[in-house]
Amino acid sequence: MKSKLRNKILHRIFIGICLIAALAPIYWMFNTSLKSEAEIYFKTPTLWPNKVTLESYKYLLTQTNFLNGIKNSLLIAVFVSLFSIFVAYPAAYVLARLFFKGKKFFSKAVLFTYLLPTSVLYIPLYIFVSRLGLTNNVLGIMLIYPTFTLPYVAWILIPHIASISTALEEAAYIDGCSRFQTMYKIVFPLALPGIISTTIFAFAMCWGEYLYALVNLISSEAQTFPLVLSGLVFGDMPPWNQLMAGAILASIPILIIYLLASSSLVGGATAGGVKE
Amino acid sequence: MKKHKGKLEANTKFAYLVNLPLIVYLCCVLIFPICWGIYISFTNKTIGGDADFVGLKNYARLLHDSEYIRSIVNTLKFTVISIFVKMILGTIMALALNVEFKGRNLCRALLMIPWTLPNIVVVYNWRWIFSSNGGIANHILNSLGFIDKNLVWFGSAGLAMLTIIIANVWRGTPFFGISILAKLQTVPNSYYEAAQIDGANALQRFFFITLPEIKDVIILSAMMSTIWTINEFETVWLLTGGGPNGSTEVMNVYSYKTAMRSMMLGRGIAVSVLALPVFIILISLLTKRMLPEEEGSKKVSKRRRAR
Amino acid sequence: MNTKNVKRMTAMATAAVTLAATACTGFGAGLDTVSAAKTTSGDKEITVWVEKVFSDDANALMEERLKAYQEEAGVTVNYEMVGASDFVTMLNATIEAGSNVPDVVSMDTTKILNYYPNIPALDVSDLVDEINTERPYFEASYEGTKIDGVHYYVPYCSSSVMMFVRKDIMEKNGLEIPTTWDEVYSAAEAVSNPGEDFYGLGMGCGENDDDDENTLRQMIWNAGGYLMDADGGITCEDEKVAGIISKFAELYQAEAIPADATTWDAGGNNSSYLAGRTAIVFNAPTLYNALKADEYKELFENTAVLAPPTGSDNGVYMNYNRGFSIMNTCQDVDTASGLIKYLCDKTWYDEYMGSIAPVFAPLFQDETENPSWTEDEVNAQVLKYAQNASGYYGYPVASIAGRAAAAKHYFTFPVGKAFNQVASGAESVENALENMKYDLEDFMDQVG
Repeated sequence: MKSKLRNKILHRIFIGICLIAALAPIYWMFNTSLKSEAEIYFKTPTLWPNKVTLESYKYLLTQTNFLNGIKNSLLIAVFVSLFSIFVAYPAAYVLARLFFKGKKFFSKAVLFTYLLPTSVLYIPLYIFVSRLGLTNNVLGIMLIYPTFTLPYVAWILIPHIASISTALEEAAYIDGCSRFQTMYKIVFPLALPGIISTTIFAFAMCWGEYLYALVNLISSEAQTFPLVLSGLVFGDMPPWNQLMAGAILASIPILIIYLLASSSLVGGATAGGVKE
Repeated sequence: MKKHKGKLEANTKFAYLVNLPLIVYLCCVLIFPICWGIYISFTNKTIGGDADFVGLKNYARLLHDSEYIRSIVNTLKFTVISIFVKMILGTIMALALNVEFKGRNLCRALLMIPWTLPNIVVVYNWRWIFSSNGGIANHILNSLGFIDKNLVWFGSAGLAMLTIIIANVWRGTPFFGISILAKLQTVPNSYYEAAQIDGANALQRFFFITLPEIKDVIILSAMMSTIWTINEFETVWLLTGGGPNGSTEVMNVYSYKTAMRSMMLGRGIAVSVLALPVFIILISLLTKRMLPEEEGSKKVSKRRRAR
Repeated sequence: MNTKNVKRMTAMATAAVTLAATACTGFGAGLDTVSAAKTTSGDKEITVWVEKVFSDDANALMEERLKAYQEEAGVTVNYEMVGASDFVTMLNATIEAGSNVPDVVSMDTTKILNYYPNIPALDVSDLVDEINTERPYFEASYEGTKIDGVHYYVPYCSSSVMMFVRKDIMEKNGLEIPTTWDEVYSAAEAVSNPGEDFYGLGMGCGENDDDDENTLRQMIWNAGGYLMDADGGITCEDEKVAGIISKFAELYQAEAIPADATTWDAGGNNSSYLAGRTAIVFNAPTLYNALKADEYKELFENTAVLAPPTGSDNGVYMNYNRGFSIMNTCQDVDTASGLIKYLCDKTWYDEYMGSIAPVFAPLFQDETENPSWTEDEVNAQVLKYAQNASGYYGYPVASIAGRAAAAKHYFTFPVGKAFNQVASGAESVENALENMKYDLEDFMDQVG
């Protein structure tokens, strides 16, 4: 009993350390976002602002295109992450479940998009999008982003699907279900915890993307919020308070989505309940 | 035998049919950029200029360029250390979160935040934290008595490398943690209960039950993360710009500087093309690891579990 | 289904609906915005990219002016205010795609030279001469922006690097405000107090410190040392260059320069000044604007802003002029020229310059009679800077190939590197200069 209590205490301490490591930099962002421009450059940094001011938030929301940027980012990230799941789930499924001709090549080809870094790919992809007349348009970006979300989604889903027992599927076959039906009706719901966490990651990948958005979305109306934020930096003295206010605001949507979804991620043990 | 062959054909048809959207997308969007990139690397193309074929000249020059060699060494250092730390921390984080406790959902959401913040702001934040004028890192180390003189984080080679590693690890650990956690939750409790009855201690339980179950996810995450970390550009470019004196100039920063600052597109892209074999090897290892041959993965994973 | 499952499904459904709802509402909205930036009038069309400046007011003025041209000339003006740090990356993408290249863009000498030998801008010498006849430029601006006898952009305004000096510290030590580099060096040594974390000279020499890279070059020229000669030969292994590097290292080792200066980025010197750690720094007048905040009231009153000191041989400042190029893909050069001339109209120009003073200074001779540039102390110093700014990378090399090489190697900060190596004790002066020579030579074959 004693060792159980000790374990419990150690565990809580460890969680505490994790939280501090993850959140301290974010606290610093928050702290900075509440400071005036002058207080930022104090010789001795203040751990809590001497004078709390919401000026930088106000500036961001009223003087810049930040909200419009958030809207564009949200639109793009939601579309691309859902699109990626629907397009990449079948790939993950067949790779985890089936043996077919050319499987080896197919599995590699999915990952080929990671062969060249974005710092090189952005030029040809820009050329491609501009040939389609989609520059300065969120559609162009929606076309580009799956290049990095699709391989990720396809591959990260494989172990999730592989871990699901085939018993239910086999039973469904006997009941006359087609491959296609079992793929979506049986396996998909069972893989949902994995699918949801993958979707959120895919969402986050699009949410903060910078380089592709930079070259493709030039007009301020079409820009995503990372561009709006980087547009605040002039010369050699970044307005840290405004940047950090933007960071804080930008993390809210993703937190909401994650909190909504996270209750569905608990109790994964039930998913294993049907295992042999 | 005949039946087996028929099944294979049916599978093949099915596999390509359901993946038609993916295949069409990849063909349309990716074939051109990759071919373009490889072609340009064999030319003397500059921004706005014509591309004349120069054979292997760009490559030959790179291999004799000490700055290029240094960028490769830096990339290796950066990648190996970051991945190792992220892997360890991520696994521990997932294990800790797999225990039922009050506020677990909240903790998990909070620990996720680093990964979800837009990279550009995260990088600005680190630059600010480690700034030698008014940065909080120095202030904290100072008041704890670890240092008596302000450290210049972006000034010395070792510290600058440390800052980009910290930035990368801080942002990348939740990815490992959450991926592993998702897998951990599919491990039935009955396994642990059985082990407990057999008198296995925590360490044994980890190595004989947990680890075999999550090994695949760890390796998969590590490989994915390796590919991303080698391809890392934004963090380093915005944090240290490759300095001081090139000590954090990783491959992609070198490539970008050559292509976009000095406008030598051909040579800049050759840097990335030279790294292709590495990625191809990584991808091959990954596919081999994840997709055992023959009967497809389901039997193998079953067999593995039985062992 | 047990309750747990129901709960799970509900949560997922909520999440899915939220996602789908945002997707739908946002989608329509996103498509509307695409063409919102354009307002049509007439058939002619011109696209302008203007580099954003630090002042919101000035950016707004510029936008208004571009809109006004639309009314005035009956052409559609599509303009974008683009952030400076990403300007080239974006421009390069359009150049490579061969479409959507803007017609008129903000430009400066370094940018143009980096494109050599494929300069994507038109020769606008005639346009510059036309403007020059109407409203003469300062000699330094007219000549200093020519590359091998050609203007690739229309010079418009001048940025600068000024000297910021703590008057109170100088007074306390019984010193005059320095006017020559030698006085700067001796004042720096005299006022330093490393025990209290206070240093005379806040000058960095890191690989990320482009501000000070330029000041270091100026120091060398003004002492009569040059990295290159007029024909483009590399002459950096020179006694005078070595002398300046040694002097800097001496100051650094005597702790007249902060220990962290070897690691600064461009923000290093100004933040050290704002934190009250240094007595003399060289920085763009943005620092002057920062000082105007309430919190720095005392520091502001104790600060003198002056054009940089002269040296034993010279009084050359680095030319930071910027202006507008017409890209070679432009279909309607007349309209583009008209637009640039429209921006040079004196009445509006003076108003615009007023909104960005003293960070940017005007380039026209008539401004020496404009009270807002002569009566304000700081503005007058900035104007003085513009009048004397005839230096450039590779100065005094004349050929376009030589200047292109000099502009390209600027991004590797060879001068700052050499100072850094000697100051930090990593290399002897001879070796540092040899390294610098190697760095400079490395770029020579890339411009042929």
